[in-house]
Amino acid sequence: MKKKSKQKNIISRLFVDMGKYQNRFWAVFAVIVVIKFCLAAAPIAVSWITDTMQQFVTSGNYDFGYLLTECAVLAVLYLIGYGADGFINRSLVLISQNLSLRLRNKAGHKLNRLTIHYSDNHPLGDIQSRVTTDMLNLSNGIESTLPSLLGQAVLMAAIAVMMLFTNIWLALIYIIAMPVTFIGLRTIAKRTNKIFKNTNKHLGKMNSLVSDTYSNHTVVKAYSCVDEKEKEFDELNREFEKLFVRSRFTSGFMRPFSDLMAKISYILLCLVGGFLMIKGTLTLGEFTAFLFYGNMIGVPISELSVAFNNFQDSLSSASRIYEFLDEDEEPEETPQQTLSLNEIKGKVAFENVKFGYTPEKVLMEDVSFTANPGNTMAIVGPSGAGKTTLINLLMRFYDIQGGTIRLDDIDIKELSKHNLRSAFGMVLQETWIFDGTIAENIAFGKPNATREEVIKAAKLAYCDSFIERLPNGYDTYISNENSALSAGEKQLLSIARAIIANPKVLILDEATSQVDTKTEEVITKAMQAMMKGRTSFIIAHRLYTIRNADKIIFMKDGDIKEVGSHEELLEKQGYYAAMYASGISAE
Amino acid sequence: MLSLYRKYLGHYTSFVIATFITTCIIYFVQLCLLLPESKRIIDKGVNLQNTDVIWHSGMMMVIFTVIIGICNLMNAYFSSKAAAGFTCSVRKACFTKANSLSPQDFAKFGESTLLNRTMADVANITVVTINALRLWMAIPILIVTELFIIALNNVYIFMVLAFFFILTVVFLVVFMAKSRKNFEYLQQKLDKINLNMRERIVGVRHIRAFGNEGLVYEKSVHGNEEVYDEAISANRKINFLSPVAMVVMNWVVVLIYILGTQQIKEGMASISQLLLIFQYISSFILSLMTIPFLINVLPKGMVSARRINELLSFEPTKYETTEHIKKDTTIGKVEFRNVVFGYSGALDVIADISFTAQPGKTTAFIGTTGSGKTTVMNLMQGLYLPTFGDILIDDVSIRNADEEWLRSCFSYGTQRPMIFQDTVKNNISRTASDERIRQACDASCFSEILAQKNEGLAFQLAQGGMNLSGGQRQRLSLARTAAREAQIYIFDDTFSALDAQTEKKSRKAIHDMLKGKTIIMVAQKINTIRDADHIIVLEKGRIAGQGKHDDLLKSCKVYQEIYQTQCYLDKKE
Repeated sequence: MKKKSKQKNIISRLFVDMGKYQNRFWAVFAVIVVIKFCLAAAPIAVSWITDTMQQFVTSGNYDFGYLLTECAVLAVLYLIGYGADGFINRSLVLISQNLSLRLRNKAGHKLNRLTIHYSDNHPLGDIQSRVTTDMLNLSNGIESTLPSLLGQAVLMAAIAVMMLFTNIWLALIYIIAMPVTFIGLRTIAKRTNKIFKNTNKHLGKMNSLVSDTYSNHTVVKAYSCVDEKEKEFDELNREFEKLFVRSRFTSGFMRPFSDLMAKISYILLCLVGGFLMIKGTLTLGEFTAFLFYGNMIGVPISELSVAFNNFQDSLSSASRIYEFLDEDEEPEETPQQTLSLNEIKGKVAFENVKFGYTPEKVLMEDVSFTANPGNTMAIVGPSGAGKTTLINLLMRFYDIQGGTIRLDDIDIKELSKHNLRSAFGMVLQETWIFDGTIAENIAFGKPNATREEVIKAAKLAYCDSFIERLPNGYDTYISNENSALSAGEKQLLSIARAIIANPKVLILDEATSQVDTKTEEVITKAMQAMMKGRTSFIIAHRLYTIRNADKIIFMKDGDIKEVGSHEELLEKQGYYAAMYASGISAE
Repeated sequence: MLSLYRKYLGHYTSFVIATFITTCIIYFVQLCLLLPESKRIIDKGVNLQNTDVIWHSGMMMVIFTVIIGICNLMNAYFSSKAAAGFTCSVRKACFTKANSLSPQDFAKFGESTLLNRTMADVANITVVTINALRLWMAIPILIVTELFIIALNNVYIFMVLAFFFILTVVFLVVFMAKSRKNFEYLQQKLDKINLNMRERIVGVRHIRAFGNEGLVYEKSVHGNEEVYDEAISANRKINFLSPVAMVVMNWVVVLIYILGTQQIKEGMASISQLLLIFQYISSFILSLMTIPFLINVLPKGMVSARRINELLSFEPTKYETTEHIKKDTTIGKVEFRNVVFGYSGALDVIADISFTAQPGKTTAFIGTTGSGKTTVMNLMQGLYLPTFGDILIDDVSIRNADEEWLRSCFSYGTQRPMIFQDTVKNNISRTASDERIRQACDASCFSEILAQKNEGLAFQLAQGGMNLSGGQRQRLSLARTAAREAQIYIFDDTFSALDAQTEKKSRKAIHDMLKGKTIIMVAQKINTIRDADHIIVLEKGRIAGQGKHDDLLKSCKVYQEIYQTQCYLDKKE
């Protein structure tokens, strides 16, 4: 019951999203009814023609004028019945493509509004398949499943009506056979469905194996795992073959079954029709009409059953899309204050901050510190200490559960996120390159930047030299997958991106781990020059990068344990002192 | 498409033949035996008022129906078997081929298109294949048999019908071929928006940090609109094809009614004969109705087949080896002789590289980003071949070496840790003993992480190892490198994400574990490599100096600079 109402809900939402094409949809529906009745009426015209012929033969009087009129009627019925399909095809493409465009754009918008919590906690593949594969399923459903579902259902009803008008006894054969066939087919389909689901699940397993193997191509090759992976693949593949044969074989029963039912009806028709004709209660023309109906009716029944399944698939795709569109969004903001970019000084303060990703598991109990304008704050700690948590809080990717974070003495909750984030420049450990030119990738930090500004930023980040060496220089196309750039070069690009944004507070998340120390030093210098009078947070593992920091924040297990200058912390003889000692002793 | 069938149908060909034979039987019984019974009922039964004939015909029809039913079932089995076998062998071939590609070629294709080709494209051709076996094979048989029977009954009607039929088919095929290009474009644009979506999901933090939500949204909208335009215009070309064909064919039927009556008048045909012909024609036209379906599926299938073929027939740009030299016992000596290398067409990435790495020694590489360190590592393992010069492993030229043997010599720790969606144990090694895995985990300090997990080595990793932190992933990667039994161990900047404490500890432990092996270290910190037996300084793809730490400090300018910048940071007391 609940499932039914949910499906109804999805259909009504689909209608809403059809927008102005809703009317077109109803027009399509009306046209379908008209054309299917025309097609169902055609055998009746044929029966007239046959009877006329019979009359000609018995009377010996061939009145071709009369025959031509009847033929003209039949020709018109065919013209409408088949020709109007063009209108239906065209309309459904328009409807489905408009709907897809709208839903795709909605999904695109949604991606901007989703909480970071959602993207952190959902597998990439799942989100991706909702906005790609499911969209395709839906449009295919509308373009091919819907017309056959509606069309064949209407055609069956129309044929039933026409047959009853022609001869009740012969009509009864079909009216009994049709539902029996349909129920039989649904029973087979239900069994098939289960196997199909199994097959799809299996295909999913295969997909993740292949995806996993491909994304670790280097390791697979270098560790000679190719054979192992292929063995694993072979096992899945063989199992898939078995499942596939089973599913296709079971679904292959459907056609023979409906075929059998059609043939039984045909035999009954010939027998009963033959006796009725001998008795003289059935004309040859009427018998002919039924032969035609018998031929017409086999198709809709089996097609209807298949269409029914496909339609349910499309609906479940639609429901997955809507599920995604209904996910929690970042709350609407009503910023009480605005900071103009030029006025930001860059003071950042934590006051009794309490935070955990889930309310049950609190990571930070009570953290306070202040970064004065122009300060360099080094964040250190063992790996897995949750240093990215700090960024999540500063940039308000997550909200804190207690206390206050202030930027220039303003509670960051009172600022719009956009306003807050424009004050920050960020270079994360995992670089992100999008599909576009190098120049576009740099200008991502400042969308309206001129080519000169891009080159200037690239020079400051020491990208210029390697960019110039690329075949198309700044106009070279790159993407995350394309390995024309080394890890270090990608890192440098992200730095150029941050430089061009000219932020007031800089966050470097292990930004230098992929860059050699020589380059790292130059970059650090360039950044220090740029950040003069501005605040920066540097997450780094190497002690020498943080020695120059004004304050060091030591983190462990997601919590801030110590804050202070290098000397202060050394005197404290705590976590930092221990770590520093082990780093230096190697010298 | 056909070439795929030729190559990968293999021993499933017999199932295709069996499908063909059963299809033939089905249509022969149905068209030549079953349908004519209706003519007999009219001619001998109704017209002669003979009920016995009707009963007899009924009996015969039941027998024919049973035969058809049995053949249909066999047909379903054979066609499933053939389609499944074909699909699986193509998919397997794709998988094997993709795995066999060198990293260079692999990158040329790109990971996502390879995945698409192996999974989605193969699924597309599966749909085509199953339809080919179930529908398209049947239709020509049906059409030919029907035309033949009609010709036997009435040559005149046969000629009219055949003429218009050929006309319609030509019309359909010509326009279908025209639409193919459009569907290819459509697919490309779809790929593009899918890539765009992926980027946006992965880069959500970056996009928001820069406040560029609007910018990326506009880009997606633009891509979506392109897809829309292409879908509309591609479909415009095929929307009206089948309606036109159906109208024409049905009008031909009307024409035949008139011509048939004329023939009856001239005594050249009987009504029952015409009725039989009409039954043939109407099932004939019904089979034409499947053509729109074919139009929908076939171009997609053909595009997919081409993409698969592109992968399968791709000529790898390496290894034209005729010899496959391997050694039974490997010592692990690596020698570069005046090696020059540039990625296809580009400037030389490295040049004049000569050095020897000895077993039991640690050879280290240091240099700026883009100085060619990773390229040297790739060359060493034969992942790329040098443009000039030679590389020898145990005095065997890499050009002549057996690929499998070559792989077995190395254990390679990559710069970016790569993690499989599997257990920790399987990520480290499937073949190594538990003892060795434990040893490797200890050496890489991964044991400390494992100690926190209840499952221990059975701990299940998420895709891309997302349930570990960056440093933890690197430790796992280190453990994998150490656990593998090899003679030459390469650590390509594998310590960079570790904190100083852990790095020092694990570096020492790994050295102890791998005593006697050839160790190659790539690093950015002098600290990491200062104790190495031999240090090679790379700059802009050339060797700027090589020797021991103390010698280099005296003689190599680049090394001095690196040292000074690091000292400046470390010892500015």
